[in-house]
Amino acid sequence: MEELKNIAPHLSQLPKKDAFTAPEGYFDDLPSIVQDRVIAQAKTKSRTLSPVWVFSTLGVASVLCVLFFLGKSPEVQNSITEQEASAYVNENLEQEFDETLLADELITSDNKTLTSEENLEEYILNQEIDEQLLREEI
Amino acid sequence: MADYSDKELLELFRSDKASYAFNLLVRKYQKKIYAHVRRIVIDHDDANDVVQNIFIKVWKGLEKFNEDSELYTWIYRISVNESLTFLKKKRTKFFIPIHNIEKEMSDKIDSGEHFSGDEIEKKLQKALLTLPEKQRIVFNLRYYDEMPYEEMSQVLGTSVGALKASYHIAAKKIEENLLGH
Repeated sequence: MEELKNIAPHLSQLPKKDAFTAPEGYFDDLPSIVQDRVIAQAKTKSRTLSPVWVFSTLGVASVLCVLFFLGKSPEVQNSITEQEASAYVNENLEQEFDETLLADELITSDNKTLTSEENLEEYILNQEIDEQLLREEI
Repeated sequence: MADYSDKELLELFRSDKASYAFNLLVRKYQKKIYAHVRRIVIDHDDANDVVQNIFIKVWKGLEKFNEDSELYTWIYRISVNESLTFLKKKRTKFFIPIHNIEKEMSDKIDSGEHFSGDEIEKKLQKALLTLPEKQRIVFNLRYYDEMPYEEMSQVLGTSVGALKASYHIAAKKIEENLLGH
């Protein structure tokens, strides 16, 4: 090169050759190696889920799980309560209930229409009770 | 194998023969790109990694390549960027100061592994390692690849005047180094 002769005359006279060499067969294999990597990356890309997709799916799945358990849990609790209650009643059927406890329970229960004294009096008066029979009973 | 022009390769790539066209493109440029990268990173294994990454980037970018520049200057631009990025990563990864990287590369030249040059060639390559990286790339593109300054300007994004000045300085330094000054 003319420009090099002026700048670096010694360098310009050196034989120019590419001293770096590649292993034998390197350039025969390189195109297919590159092609394989391109295909592998394309496959990985198609398999890789985008973060938006992953978070959306996880979000929907979480909501479904919560809804499922919220809908399911009261039924489970109810069935257990019923079973427990049933077992308790069966166990205690032969026992005599304390009447006072039972009355207290009735009074404190929500069924005020039957337990309040006024309602009871009214209920008794409304029933056509035979007074004679009642006295005999007492 | 038919010697396809860059334009023909691009047309082939945009038809339904993209893989075939890409294979031809790799075959067409692999030796030039390997030599270019090898002169920058020196070690064959490193050059192999960088060259593969370059062609994968070429594949990914080909679809959007808009032909504002020549295909081969575009490939060279990717090559320069990838090679410089590789050296930067190597330094960051191993916390190796710049002079140690050059020492490592100089030792590689001395080892003669995948190197067919004589003592003068070894001396020239080691002298090149004393240059700043970008100056070394300018020298390589001009001296070995005999690339016109206008094309170098497209590859490196530097003005022709600045490239001429850079080459001039690089050549002077190499000359002095070879003469033992």
